Amino acid sequence: MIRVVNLTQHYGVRPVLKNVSLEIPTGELVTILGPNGMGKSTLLAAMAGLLAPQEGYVEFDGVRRRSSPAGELAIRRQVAYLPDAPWLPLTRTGREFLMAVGGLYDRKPSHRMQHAERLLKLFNLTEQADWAMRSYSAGQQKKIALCGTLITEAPYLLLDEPFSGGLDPAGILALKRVLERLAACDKRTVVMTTPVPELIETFSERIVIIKDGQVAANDTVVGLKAAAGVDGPLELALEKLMYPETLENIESYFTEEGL
Amino acid sequence: MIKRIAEWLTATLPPNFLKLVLVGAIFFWGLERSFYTLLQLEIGQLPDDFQQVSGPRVWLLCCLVGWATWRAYMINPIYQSRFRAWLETTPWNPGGQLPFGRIELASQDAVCLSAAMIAFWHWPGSLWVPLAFLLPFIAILTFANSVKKQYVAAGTAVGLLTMLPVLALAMQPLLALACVCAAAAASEWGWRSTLRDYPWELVPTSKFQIDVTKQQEADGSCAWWPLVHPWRGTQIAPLLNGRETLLLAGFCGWLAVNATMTINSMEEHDAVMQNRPVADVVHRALPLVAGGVGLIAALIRLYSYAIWCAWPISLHGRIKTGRFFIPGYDRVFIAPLMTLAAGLIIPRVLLLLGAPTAATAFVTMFVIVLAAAGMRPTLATWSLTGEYRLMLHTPVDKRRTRQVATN
Repeated sequence: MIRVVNLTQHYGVRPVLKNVSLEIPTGELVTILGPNGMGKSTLLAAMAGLLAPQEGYVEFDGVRRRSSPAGELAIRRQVAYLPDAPWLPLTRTGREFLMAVGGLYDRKPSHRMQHAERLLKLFNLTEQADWAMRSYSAGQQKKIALCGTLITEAPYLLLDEPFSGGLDPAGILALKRVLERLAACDKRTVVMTTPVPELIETFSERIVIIKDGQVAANDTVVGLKAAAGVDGPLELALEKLMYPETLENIESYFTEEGL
Repeated sequence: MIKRIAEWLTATLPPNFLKLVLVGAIFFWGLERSFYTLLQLEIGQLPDDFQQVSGPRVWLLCCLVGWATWRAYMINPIYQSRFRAWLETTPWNPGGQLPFGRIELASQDAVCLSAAMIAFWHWPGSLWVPLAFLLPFIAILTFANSVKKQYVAAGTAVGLLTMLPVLALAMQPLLALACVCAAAAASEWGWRSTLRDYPWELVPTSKFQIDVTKQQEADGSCAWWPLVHPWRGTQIAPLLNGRETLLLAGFCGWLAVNATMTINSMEEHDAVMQNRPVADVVHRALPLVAGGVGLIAALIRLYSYAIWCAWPISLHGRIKTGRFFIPGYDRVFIAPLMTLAAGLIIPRVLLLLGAPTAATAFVTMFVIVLAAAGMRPTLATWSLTGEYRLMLHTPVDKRRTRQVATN
């Protein structure tokens, strides 16, 4: 289980996260949604241990981040984090990268080789597997970075905008299905951010809406629809919950024009 | 009988070494004679005070250096990775002799070196004969010992060798030779300990095979993950334990003492040569030099701890929000400040109290190194529990850090 307790983070003067508390049970697939600049990536970065929040803390299975060397090391071995713009050793081949990342998480070489092969096939990268990654397109780089996260087999996957960065429809489909199965069958906990709600309605178990650095809603898809009083697609419910001012702005734009 | 003696004698020499020495000596003797004959023909009678360089002697010294290098480097599995890899496929164990000759010193070495010294008995520089072999031998073996973390033996050997300039300036050749022999004994002891640790784990594991080229760092194509996320600081154990830190501090103190004594000896020598009173150079320069050393040590400590991480909030943020002190992060500055303070304060106080310069140099250096290398938190603890923002210092990464800040 991931527990985020009273998290407050600010870099300069403006607080990005304000007293955020959250509990994510093991094996759940959670999506963090929210407008740009509202703290989604910061929340994920704090969970991933990149940031030291000014107040509050993050716990994984009852162990607080950065509280002790042994505890922090144990958490690092359990967590794989994929940032929005991941680093790739561009002179290395995709297969070498996957083997090296798998090794970091102490996966056996034979198992890594076999898993890497399956991941490359899943994301249609078999042909490019032995090319240097500098020759990959943006979408292929995103795919290999995703493969790098999945090969870790870490129980906690923290993915910052995994569906962005030029991923093609086949890649989106593969990622959706894999994450769904990992959470449902493998009891892996997946936390991801996305600014695009359409993608997640069918497979996200819970949605956390971050707005102005605070948790505006934290519920299942059904719960969110009920809270918004919407019977249609999730998109409509989110429009009401996340962007009410945008809807008003649209109305006023046309009203003032006399349309 | 003669054959058996020759076999015993050449057991620690490179193949065909004696033949090479002999042929080379004849060749260089011929070269030397030809050169001086031609010189005499050219310029006439050489002046009485003309210093002739002896070709065979120079050749012998070069051979001794080559012999030492062969013994300590060429047949040493620590340095020869392919030899080491092959050795690990054989049933060899440290109890037996290495297949291409022994590295450790043996009685044959003493016989060979004595013979060489006797051959040059009338040469004023005959002391160089054993030194030409022992100095490179000790240096190469000491480096191998330090690679295998035999720090006490390596430190003792280097510490003893640093006394040589003082002894040389004091015109004490026999003491200098004794000092080198003691250093050889220390490196020998370290080497035997290194051998006992066989098989050695010198090859990096595949775990660390992702590396970042300087170009990638420069163009910012490396960011936080996975470069620093899971494995920076995967070793919780500190780089140096308490005992090793004390030894390092003591060793650096000893180097400072030797430097002080060498400078004093040089000054005394110059004063005698120039017929002037001896100036207390060290006394005047020590506070300044110690301050500089303290500053460098403090910067090294700060660099190794803080180069890849950023402040949790900006300075502007600290001031505006009244968080002037963030204990979880600011503890990283305590050790560098203490190191700098040690360099600035200790020598001044001790010299004011009338302490001898050598003792002042030792104490100052000891405390500087102790503070820089031994103060908590350890690098591992800091990297795992420090309240910093993870980053690398490249322009693109700074932009990315800001991106996170604004998201």
